[in-house]
Formats: sequence, C-alpha cells, structure tokens
Amino acid sequence: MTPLLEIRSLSVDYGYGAVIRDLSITVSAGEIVGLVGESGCGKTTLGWSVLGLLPRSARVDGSILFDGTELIGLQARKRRKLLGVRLSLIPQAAMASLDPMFTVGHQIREIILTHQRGGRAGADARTVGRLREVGVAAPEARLRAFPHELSGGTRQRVATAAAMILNPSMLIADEPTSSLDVTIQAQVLGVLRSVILEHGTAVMFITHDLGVVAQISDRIAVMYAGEIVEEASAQELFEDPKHPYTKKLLAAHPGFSNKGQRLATIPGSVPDPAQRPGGCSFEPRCPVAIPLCQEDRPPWVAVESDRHVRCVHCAPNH
Amino acid sequence: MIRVLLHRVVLIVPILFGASIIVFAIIRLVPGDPAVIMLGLNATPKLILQIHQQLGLDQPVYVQYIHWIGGIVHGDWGHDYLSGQPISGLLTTTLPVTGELVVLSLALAIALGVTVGSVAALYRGRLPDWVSQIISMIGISIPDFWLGIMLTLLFALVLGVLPSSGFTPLTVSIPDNLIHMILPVVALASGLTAVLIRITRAAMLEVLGQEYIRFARASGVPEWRVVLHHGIRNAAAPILTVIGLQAGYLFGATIVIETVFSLPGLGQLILNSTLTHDYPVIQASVLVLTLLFVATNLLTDAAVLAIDPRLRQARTA
Ligand SMILES: Nc1ncnc2c1ncn2[C@@H]1O[C@H](COP(=O)(O)OP(=O)(O)OP(=O)(O)O)[C@@H](O)[C@H]1O
Ligand code: SF4
Ligand SMILES: [Mg+2]
Repeated sequence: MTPLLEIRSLSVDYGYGAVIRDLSITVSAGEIVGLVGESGCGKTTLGWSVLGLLPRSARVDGSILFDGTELIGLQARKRRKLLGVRLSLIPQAAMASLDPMFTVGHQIREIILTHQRGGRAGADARTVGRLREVGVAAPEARLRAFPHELSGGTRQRVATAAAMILNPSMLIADEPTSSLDVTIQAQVLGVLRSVILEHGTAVMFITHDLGVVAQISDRIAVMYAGEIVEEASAQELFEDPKHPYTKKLLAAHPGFSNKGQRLATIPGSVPDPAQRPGGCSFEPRCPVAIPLCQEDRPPWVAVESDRHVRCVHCAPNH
Repeated sequence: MIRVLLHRVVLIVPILFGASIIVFAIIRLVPGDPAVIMLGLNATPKLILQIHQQLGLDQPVYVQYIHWIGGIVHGDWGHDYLSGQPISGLLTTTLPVTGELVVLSLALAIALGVTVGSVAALYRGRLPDWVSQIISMIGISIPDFWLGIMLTLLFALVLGVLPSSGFTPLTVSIPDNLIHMILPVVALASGLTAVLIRITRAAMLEVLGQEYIRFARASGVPEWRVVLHHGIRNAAAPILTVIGLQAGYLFGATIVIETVFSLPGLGQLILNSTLTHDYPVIQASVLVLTLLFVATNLLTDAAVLAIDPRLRQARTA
C-alpha cells in the first residue's frame, strides 16, 4: 500500500533545541494510526507541521509528503486548497474550536463555500446531514445555535462534523476528546470511530491516553521527547511491548497492568528540548540503560516485518 | 439586552443633573464678574448692581440654579448675556461644526487605528509591527494642538495646499467644507488613532492565538477572511469599549482644536463664553458636550452588546 502521508526525518525547532527530532512515520489510506506520548513530547507540534500551522519562527527540516505533494515549504495558496478538503484537523481544545461570534451553520457553511461553489441552502442541507451522522440531536435547529448554547460533547461533535464536512481523505485528531468528561469522551470517541470507518478516512490520532488509542487505532507509534521510540500494530504493542518506555507506559496504565498490582509511575520527566541527552533521550529514566546508551543514539531497528523500535537492546548486534 | 440599554438611558438623567450642578458651581468659582465685562470701562458699582438684578445674579446661587435648570427642563436654554440672543440658536449653529469634526475624527481614528493595529498583530515582531509601534508611540506623545500647529505650518504656510483655518458649512459647499476639515480632523484624530493601534494590536494578538482561528486556518479559510471575519469580530469588544472611553477626551480636545483652526463650533463657544463669563452659554454648551459624551458611550456599549451573542442572550434572559 502506498502511504497517504509520509513524514521523513522531520525536525522542528522553535529556537531553543529540537522539539521534534529526526522523526519518520507513514499513514496509509484509510489507516488509523495512534500517536501516544506524554505531555510536551511534541505531538501537537507534529500535527501542526503537517497542517502548516507552526509559527513562522519555527525551523522545520525534513519532508512531509501528502499524497505525493511536499507540504514543507508549500505555497500558502496551494496548501489552502488541501486543507479542509483532503486534510483536516480536529484541534486539541476542540471545545474552543468554534468561533463564539457565529452560529454553527455559519461556520460549517464557511468551510464548504470556501472550497466549493454553491448556495447557502445546499451547504446547510449537507451540514444537517453530517451533524445527524455525528449524533447531534435536532440538527436543523442546531444550525442557528451559537457555540455557547451547546454542551461540550455537542460542540465536539460539531467540530468533528466541520472537520469531516468535505470528506477529507485524512484527519489529524489532536487529543479530540481529552477536554471532555469520561462518559462523554467514550460516546464522542464511538461516534468519531464510526464516522471515520464509514468514510474510510485515514487518521493520525494524537493522544496521551493509551486507553483511547487502544480503542481506535490499527497501528500505534509511541513518542518520547520528539522521537518515535516504538511503532507496532495495536495488538503487538499491547501484548509484547519492546521499548523500555512503552513497557513503563503500559505498566502505568490502570487498564493494562495486572489487577491488584500497584500502579507503576515513571520516575523523572521528559527532558527539556534545550538539554536533551546526546545518546538515547530516555536514558536518564531508563531502568535497563547501559553505558553505550549515553553515547550513541540507538538505531531505528526493524524487529518484525512492520515493527520498529529505537533501543540498543533490540539492535541486532547487541 | 433591551433592558440593560433602557437602564443605561435612564441613568443619563442623573448624570446630566450632576454635570449641570458641577458646571454651574465651577464657573461661579472662577474670579471675574460678567457685569464688569459687559460694561467694560463704563462699570460703576451702581450699573453693576443694576445688571446683576437684570440677570438675576443678585439672588442666592441655589435659586439661580433652580431657575436655570427649570428652564432647561422646559426646553428653554436661556439667553446670551452679551447679545441677548437665545442660546438655542447658538447651539444649532455650533453643534453641526463640532459634530462633523468629531464624527470625521472618530471615523479616521477607527479606520486607521484598527487597520494598522491588525497589520501589526499579523506581522508580530516584524517590520510592519515595529513601524506601527513607533507611529503609535509618536501619536500618543505628541499633543494634538501642537500637531495642529505643525500641520498648519507645513500644509498651509510652506506647501500652501490646504487652508490654515476657517470653515464652510456643508450646506454651502461640500468640497470646500471637507478641505477645511482635513487638518483639524487629522490633529484631533491623532491621539485616538495611536491608542486604537495599541488596543487593536493587543486584542488581535489575543484573538489570533485562539483555537477557533487555528481551526479556521486548518480548514483552508483564506487568511484575509480569518483576520477580517473572525479576528476583528472577536477583537471588537475591547476596541469599542476604548473608543467609548476615549470619546470624552476627544470631545474635550475639540475646544483646543477648534481654537487653533478657528472653527466656529461648540468648543470655541465654550472658550469664548468662558472668557466673557457668559454663564448661561457656558452652562448650556458644556451640558450639550456632556450629553454627546454620554450618548457616545451608550452607543459603544450598545454595539458591544449587539455584537457578542453571549452577552446578547445572557442579558435578555
Ligand atoms: N509556539 C511555541 N514556541 C515555543 N515552544 C513551543 C511552542 N509550542 C510548543 N512549544 C514547546 O514544544 C514542546 C512540545 O509541545 P507540544 O505542544 O507539541 O507537545 P504535546 O505533546 O502536544 O503536549 P500536550 O500533551 O501538552 O499537548 C514543549 O516543550 C512546548 O513547550
Ligand atoms: S537505548 Fe538504552 S537508555 Fe534508551 S531505552 Fe534502550 S536501554 Fe534504555
Ligand atoms: Mg498537544
């Protein structure tokens, strides 16, 4: 399968050290890839690099190919033709992603009419259909509602409908449910999943929550300090994690650790981008580190056909 | 929303009463006697007393006040001490001049201030931002009367392209009127423009960092539309509030600007009547100026309420 999104050796620097370091990942058409990592590891930065939302001051190196088009350095006008049409975002603070000054109908209509000719009536009919699909009750009436009149869950559904309105082939969902209550989170996640499966949308699903990623992803990439340290199918990753950081993450998660066992926490914190260690970024917190880890960056090793790990213990000559 | 506005309209009455008492008292504290000024070299104690009796100035101050305010309530503005003309006539000739000056200055300041402020926010930390910051700093620090004098020197005396002073009513000749208005409007608008550049820049920076702006950009909405449609609409409330507050300063500054440019407006009327201690004229014109200020504030508040759906609905409920 040819990849729809292909990120190669991406590095992003806001001016004080690489926040994303030599990161590569691919997402195939229709595939749902979960991207997990602690807060501050660069997940949002990665999403913004793809969408061209990084501040001007950020230095970006590497390559991001979307359906054969290089996105890095792409002219704003050409990028705009892709955004919303073929490549959409559900932002991190999705509840704040609707403009408080305008109605739901107005905002979704704006996206439709930015990209396609047509009238208000057609756009609204389409919006109503999509709102119904994501489980918004009384969608016709909601067209005239302002964001503050909607509950958090409904706002999130509206944002999802807006991102999906033109049937993009790829969606970047940046922690789309993390600002919601747990019960509503599950509902919204269910809706999102059914909509993307229905339309065969490829998704880069960014989250810090392994539970969420387990529910939705085909493949999972674990991110640490701006790098991907392990990449595997969802099943392989949960059954047989290879990287020490993934192991720790799984152990720290109540849903996956053994029952009755005390919750493990990971000592230490993600290193500041300005002072990352020279060798393995995880070395200061790694329980199985060896002297070599401080010196050389561990290689990106293919463990099985489509599994990769970045740790000396998985390197063939180790 | 209607309730809030009605409430504000009703509040205007006590504000105007308060203002009327203050003007009434303050001008009587200023040393000098209108009768002496009217009589000039002929002033004798007897004549002065006679004039005091004629004008009612021999009565206790509170009686004078009740008499005056009673007239105002019934629509009688009183008469000019010097000419004996009805003051309502003075107001109808001066008010349009000041009104035009203020409306044009507000329009210029808003157009320029909001545009430059938005550009500065969009180009944060780059050349256009620096330039706008410098312009705004200059605008805030230069007194408007001094700017008025400098503009006159340059455009009227050195270049000779614009008239230095004078006024043609709109009804006589529109182009002539506008040509005479250019320099005073620029001088009067400079301070507010500078303030609006700053406020707009700050408000826009705040808004442009919001998630809904990012979402609009990520949906392919063109940048001009992101800024003009979403940005300015969301930044409007703080900008409008500042306009309402600064309007008071603008109305006050008309006194100086109208004097510098010899515009026969309300401001010049206030200055001249103060020099001659023409009490009823000062009182009437200051009251009108106060009313204009309060009305401007009311309008900007109404605009803020009308623009923001959250306020619109919260207050009606
Ligand atoms: N505009 C910016 N300028 C400078 N530094 C930034 C900027 N945005 C993010 N950073 C820094 O980059 C690093 C990664 O941030 P990012 O938001 O990508 O992390 P994240 O994984 O999405 O975190 P979270 O889970 O909290 O959303 C952090 O150290 C953050 O402080
Ligand atoms: S490379 Fe070394 S420090 Fe890094 S995760 Fe593997 S063992 Fe730990
Ligand atoms: Mg984030």
